[in-house]
Amino acid sequence: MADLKADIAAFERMRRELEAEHLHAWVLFHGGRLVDAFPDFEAAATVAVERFDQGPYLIRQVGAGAVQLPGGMVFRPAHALDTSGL
Amino acid sequence: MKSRAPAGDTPDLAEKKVKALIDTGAGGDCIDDALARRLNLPIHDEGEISGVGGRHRAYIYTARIYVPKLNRLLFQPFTGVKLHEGEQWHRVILGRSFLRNYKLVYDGITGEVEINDHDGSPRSAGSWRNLFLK
Repeated sequence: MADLKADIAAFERMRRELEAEHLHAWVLFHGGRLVDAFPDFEAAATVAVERFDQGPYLIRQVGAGAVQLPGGMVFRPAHALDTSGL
Repeated sequence: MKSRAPAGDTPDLAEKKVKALIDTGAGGDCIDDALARRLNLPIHDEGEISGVGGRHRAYIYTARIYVPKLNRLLFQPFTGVKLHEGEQWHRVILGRSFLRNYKLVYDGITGEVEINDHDGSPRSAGSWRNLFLK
């Protein structure tokens, strides 16, 4: 998971810039660098699988918040943990 | 994770007959963590799940899932959850993101479920009976 953490850290460093330029787009990070922004997950994942196979890589929607899961559970992406309010 | 079938044919994926629960109370989709690891699905993000069981670390997997009755190939994020460990009968949960393209009709008297296209034409009439809905 070390490289995924590097990609998450890179996302955090670029977060403001991404929210300004690619809000709601799906971004792909690999090796600690932004590869590209895509209009949907499928487009991002297609490039990720073709170029990086099993990864690791980060695919994340810019500006996305918590996801409601079954049974009242909530998933929060790593970047939203410090704003959970719980 | 890639289909072994030629383009245009019915997808031939590594795991067959995986049972799924359609859950209208869920926004996102989930996959059994143990199944995802066995299939060596790529992890593309991580975060935390919180709920009645407290909090725990969770991973998001990239997966292709083919739904034969709808002739639909999904290629999307699935949150890893402990379905097998929790002795659940299903290994995948399909939430409202899956239903975005359809109209789902639940008959509370008979327990029948229909999944239709937005124009009302049936995609799987009568074939999704007795699915457990929440």
